[in-house]
Amino acid sequence: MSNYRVIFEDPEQPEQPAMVLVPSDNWLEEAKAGLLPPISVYWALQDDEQQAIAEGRHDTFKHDPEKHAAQWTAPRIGPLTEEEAIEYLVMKDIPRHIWSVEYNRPMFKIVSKDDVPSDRSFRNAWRLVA
Amino acid sequence: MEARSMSTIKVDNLQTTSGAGLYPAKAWVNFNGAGSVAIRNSGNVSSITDYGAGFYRPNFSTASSANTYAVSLSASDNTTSGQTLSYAYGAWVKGSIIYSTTGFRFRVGYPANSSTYDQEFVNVVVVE
Repeated sequence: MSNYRVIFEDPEQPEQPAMVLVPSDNWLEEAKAGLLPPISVYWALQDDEQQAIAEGRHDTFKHDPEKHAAQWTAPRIGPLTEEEAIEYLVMKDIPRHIWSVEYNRPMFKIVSKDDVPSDRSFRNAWRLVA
Repeated sequence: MEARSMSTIKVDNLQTTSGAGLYPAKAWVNFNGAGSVAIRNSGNVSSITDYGAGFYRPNFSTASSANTYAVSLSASDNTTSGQTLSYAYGAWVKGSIIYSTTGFRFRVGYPANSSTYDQEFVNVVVVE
């Protein structure tokens, strides 16, 4: 089981408590085996979907077949270490404005899973401490 | 007899011998949503986002082609302090935008009053 977790906050949703990204071990194995496409493949799909939301046509949205197939057909990027895989996962599964924009304090932090409280009391009041 | 193994089958469509369509799960995950949130096992799920008490999002390893997939959710808890033994809580998805081709947000608890609770056994199956 991965020893890493990613804690992050969304500056666009200040009322939302700190969120925790929990990686899948099966996905990590794929990353270590070199089975992932370039991250730009996922960004292209995310951009198209965001555009559809902005234009009010999300209910009937379908991906362009060629861009969708690139998830399997694009050249693989090769094996990643666990740390590299977690960085890739941040860029894939956490909204881009959280990790790509510089704020006056960090909006995400990669931590050991032991740094995340196992007692979830007051879970909806958790904040990220830099 | 010669032993043979096949590690990967690649097809565009699955059908029975009579031509009826077969629709395997697009994604699935079984995870612990209480204590230290942890994925027990999964298929086509790269991660779980823990948004808060009883509020989660499975992120798909590979995006679906559209956001019109079907979702089956269940949750129960046998051991978490304060929870009713083996009580199966409701799980629900809220709002159409919540269905994205890269994952979807859902809540576990009492839909009637929107109270959410962490649950020890949370199961998700997605069919497209």
